Amino acid sequence: MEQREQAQENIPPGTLQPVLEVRELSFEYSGAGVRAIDSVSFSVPAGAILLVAGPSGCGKSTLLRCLNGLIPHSYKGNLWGEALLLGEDIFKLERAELARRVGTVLQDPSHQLVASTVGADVAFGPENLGLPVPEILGRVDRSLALLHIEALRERDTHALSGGEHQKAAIAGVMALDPQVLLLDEPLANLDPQSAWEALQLFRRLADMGRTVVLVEHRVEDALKIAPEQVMLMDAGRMTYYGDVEGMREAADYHAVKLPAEWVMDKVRAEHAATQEDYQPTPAWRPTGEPVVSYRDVRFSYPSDPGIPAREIVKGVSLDVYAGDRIAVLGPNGSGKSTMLRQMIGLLKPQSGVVTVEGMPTTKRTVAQLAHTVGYVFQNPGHMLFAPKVREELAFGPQNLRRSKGQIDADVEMALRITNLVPQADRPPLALSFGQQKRVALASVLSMRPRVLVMDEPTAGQDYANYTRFMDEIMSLPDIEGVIFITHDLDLAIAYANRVWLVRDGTIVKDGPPEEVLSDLELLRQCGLRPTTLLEVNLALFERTGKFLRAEALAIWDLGVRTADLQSTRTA
Amino acid sequence: MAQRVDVMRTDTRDNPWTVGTREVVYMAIGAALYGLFSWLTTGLRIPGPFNSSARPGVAIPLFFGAAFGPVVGFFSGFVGNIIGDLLSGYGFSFNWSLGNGLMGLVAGLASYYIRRLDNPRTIAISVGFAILGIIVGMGFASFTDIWFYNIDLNAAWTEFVPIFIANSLSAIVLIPILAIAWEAVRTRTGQTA
Amino acid sequence: MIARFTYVNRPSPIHRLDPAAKVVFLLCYIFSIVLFLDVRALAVMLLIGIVYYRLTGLKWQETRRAWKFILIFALIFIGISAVLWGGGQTVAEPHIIWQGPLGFDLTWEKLYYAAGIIMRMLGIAFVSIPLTFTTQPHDYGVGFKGIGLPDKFAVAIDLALRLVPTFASDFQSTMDAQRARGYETEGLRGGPIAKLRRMSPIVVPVTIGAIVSGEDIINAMDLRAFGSGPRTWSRKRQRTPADKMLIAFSLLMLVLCISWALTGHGAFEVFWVPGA
Ligand SMILES: Nc1ncnc2c1ncn2[C@@H]1O[C@H](COP(=O)(O)OP(=O)(O)OP(=O)(O)O)[C@@H](O)[C@H]1O
Ligand SMILES: Nc1ncnc2c1ncn2[C@@H]1O[C@H](COP(=O)(O)OP(=O)(O)OP(=O)(O)O)[C@@H](O)[C@H]1O
Ligand SMILES: [Mg+2]
Ligand SMILES: [Mg+2]
Repeated sequence: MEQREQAQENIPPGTLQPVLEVRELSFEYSGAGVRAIDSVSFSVPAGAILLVAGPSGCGKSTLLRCLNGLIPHSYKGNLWGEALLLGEDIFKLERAELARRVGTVLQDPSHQLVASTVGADVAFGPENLGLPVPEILGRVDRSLALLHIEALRERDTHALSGGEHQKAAIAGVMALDPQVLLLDEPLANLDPQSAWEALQLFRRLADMGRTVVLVEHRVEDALKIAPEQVMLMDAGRMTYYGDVEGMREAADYHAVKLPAEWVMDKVRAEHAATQEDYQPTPAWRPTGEPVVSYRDVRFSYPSDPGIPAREIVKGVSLDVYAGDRIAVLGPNGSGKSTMLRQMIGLLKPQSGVVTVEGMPTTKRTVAQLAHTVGYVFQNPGHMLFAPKVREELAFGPQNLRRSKGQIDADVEMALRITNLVPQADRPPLALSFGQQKRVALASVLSMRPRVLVMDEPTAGQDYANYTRFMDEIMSLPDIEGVIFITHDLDLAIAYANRVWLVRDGTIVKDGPPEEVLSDLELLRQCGLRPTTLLEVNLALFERTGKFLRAEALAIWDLGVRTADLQSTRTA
Repeated sequence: MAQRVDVMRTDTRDNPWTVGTREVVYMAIGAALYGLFSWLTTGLRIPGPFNSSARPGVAIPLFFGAAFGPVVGFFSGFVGNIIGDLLSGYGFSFNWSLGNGLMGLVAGLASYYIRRLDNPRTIAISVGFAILGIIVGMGFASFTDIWFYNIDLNAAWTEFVPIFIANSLSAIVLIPILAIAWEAVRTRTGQTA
Repeated sequence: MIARFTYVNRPSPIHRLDPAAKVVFLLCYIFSIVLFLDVRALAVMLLIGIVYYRLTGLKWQETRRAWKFILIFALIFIGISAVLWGGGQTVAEPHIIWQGPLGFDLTWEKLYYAAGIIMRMLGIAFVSIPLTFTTQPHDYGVGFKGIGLPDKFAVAIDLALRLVPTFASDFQSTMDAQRARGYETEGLRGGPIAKLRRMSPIVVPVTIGAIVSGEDIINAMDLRAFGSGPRTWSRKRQRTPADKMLIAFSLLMLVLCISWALTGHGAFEVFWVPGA
């Protein structure tokens, strides 16, 4: 009731009939026992963007399913309340009618492209409506032009990059010319430049009169396009609904990623009460023999006969020492994964040499190298197969022919570190995505590698989950070096003591974050955009002398101020 | 005062022969996987005079049949076999594709008797139907070679027996493994019925 | 690993045909040729196959694998079927050419019988190979729709072909991820059952991952009104005169062959040996 009044207050005066109006909406998946969304109410006019944010599992996707008809048409359960589209009951609309009026881009757009080429995929929706062919072709042309992707028309859908996937998926939805556009975490797998382009596109679509509902926990990025309304959710309930300014108060910086200044304000306010402390990353001090070295490594994938091979890694030399915490940054397709897969011998250099513990990888098998280097792949779905978590973790050490007693001990250790003891006897495939990510990590940790390589460890996870996860990894005993590929500058600021900036198959810069990330021109060339955290850090750098995460900065700031205060007092 | 809305979900599994979006997607996935796996294992030769290769991938149409019904099983086998030939460049063999389809179809008849593959009994039933499917489907393919190429009965038997053994082994080993894994993820997907 | 379909892009009259017409021709041809064992009838059919094949402009380089496969298959058939077990023996008095040991003799019947089988196989190969080599993968769906396949199945064909390369790269990633955990495929030891079990670290993630991603695909299709009514196929093309001619020719060929066979010239009645 309360929320409803609030909702009505927030309709800007003088606007027309709301396009989307939701009242006291609740849904419980059959057999779940709890409501996935609970008494949600809001109302969005034409031309407005509603940003919905909240931690994983809070019901964001479920809310969208209620608006696009997947609930009640495809998911079983109990539904309460009302959802109106221009005054019409959404739950009573025909599916085809709803498809025409509400367009949805799903959480993982690569699964949304169902035809072999982009043009054919954009035509898919209008074809299903049984429109005449000239009309369909006209719509395809207009959609592709709207997104400026006419050039992709004949491209194979499976060979698109992340950003192109996204645009193609949106084009496919726009071909149905919907009034409402629902976007479920559209930025998840994009590099910063592509994410920025996508956001500008959403703004443009809203300005053309569409109503946009944008689900995204990267609130910091989404705020750049000034959404008219914001809704925060937690455990199915609405915790805030209103404008951006009001959210500054209401948002929890642990749950969603907020601009650095906001976080600092909050931490300052809380700090007096909690006295939490944040361990800064130890500074980079290369010592001893390098564990891994590359000397002028070059690599290209085998190509089709007749087509010249394209070099992906173009003469890379590097050394990894114990104590390194390396963030690898660079645009999509620049060769980051290709470069790091050489480390465990999955790919062998065509010229130059990769040595691990002093031995060239060409002389050793992947299994032998796995004793030293652990490689965690981005998608846990690509490796989980065993009926129990415990067996999954034992798979690696068994392949390495470790002794039974050793394996048991290492599995227990990995379970403990990744907080998976309660799940040890459950099937890994039945766990949530975040837990699966941890199983994937644990199944590499159980092999006790000296160097841990992680390919995009935080992609597709919410902020609270991934900060906890990264904190755990960075504090692991026994791991001498950690290398992680990421598109998130802030992750590099928070966890790395060394950054590799990759562009076009070479490392263009290698050094401590303070040095590499202060070259803004170079960052731009590498498809990276400065975040608010980087800006704050750069502004304060003269005084801090190093880069810190927002929480630590706030505490540092408090410390300085108290010190200032004390010094003025004593003076 | 919340208004309660009646929610229905068309449960396509009530009739094993219904084809909705769900079945269309599983047909496509089954066919793509079977085609891919067949192509990847073309190197694994079955000992014997015929140029047949061992295909652990047959577990795919058999499992898809048991899990998603006879139509999905048929399509996975039939189109999957064509895709396998398409990838390896072996041309196109009509009766063998049809035989693979029949194999998946018969395996899919198990869905008349079992709804979930979550215990040893239902898994055993699905493996039983799978073996029946192999007999019918591979039998059809081998024995229609008599008509297509005028080979004689003995030749057809020499073709059939090794394939029957290899496929049955794949079914016995891989169907239970896939069934257990599928039941584990099933609760996470929309298949909560 | 590149999962590539064996399509060869080249402007030929066969490439320009509607895939539906090619499928009709293929099916009619196969059902016609298997009616005969008479080398004279087969020679006519083989000639039709060769002409069709020549029109595709396919090169030996491109189709080598397919031909090798078929030739090996053919040789084995001749070996087993015709010679050892004496196919064609059932007909008439054998005309012995050479009396071998262990009751094995080479007869004219056996030779003509073998020739008949080879001609059949070659004929089928000449019309089957072009289908996959001259049809773009994304034309199959609409092609089968053109010969009366329901929408849903035609869409499933398109979707299956679209998914193959995606699953191939998932397979590659899975392979890499498991090798990074020390998994080795070379030198798998143990019997066939142990070997099959050792495949589960690859087969399970790829298969289950595919099924899970299917959930999204289902939603994406439902959200774009799939199955809500009869659909249009924007890629469907007008039948050209060439398509119509091929279809008419195929049906005519089938009707002629069936009547010819039914009037006492089929494989069961006629097994022609010159001079017999
Ligand atoms: N098909 C389903 N059947 C049963 N429960 C479900 C189903 N889908 C989601 N849930 C449950 O409903 C709750 C809300 O899930 P939902 O997917 O809406 O969250 P979300 O906010 O989108 O999370 P994420 O950020 O991870 O995508 C979760 O507890 C989830 O486990
Ligand atoms: N198995 C492969 N075969 C052929 N080409 C490949 C293969 N894997 C990657 N490539 C190509 O190599 C280039 C570099 O790919 P890579 O995955 O290393 O980039 P990346 O920097 O990791 O990108 P992302 O940020 O998107 O993960 C890309 O152009 C890609 O298309
Ligand atoms: Mg979600
Ligand atoms: Mg990568």
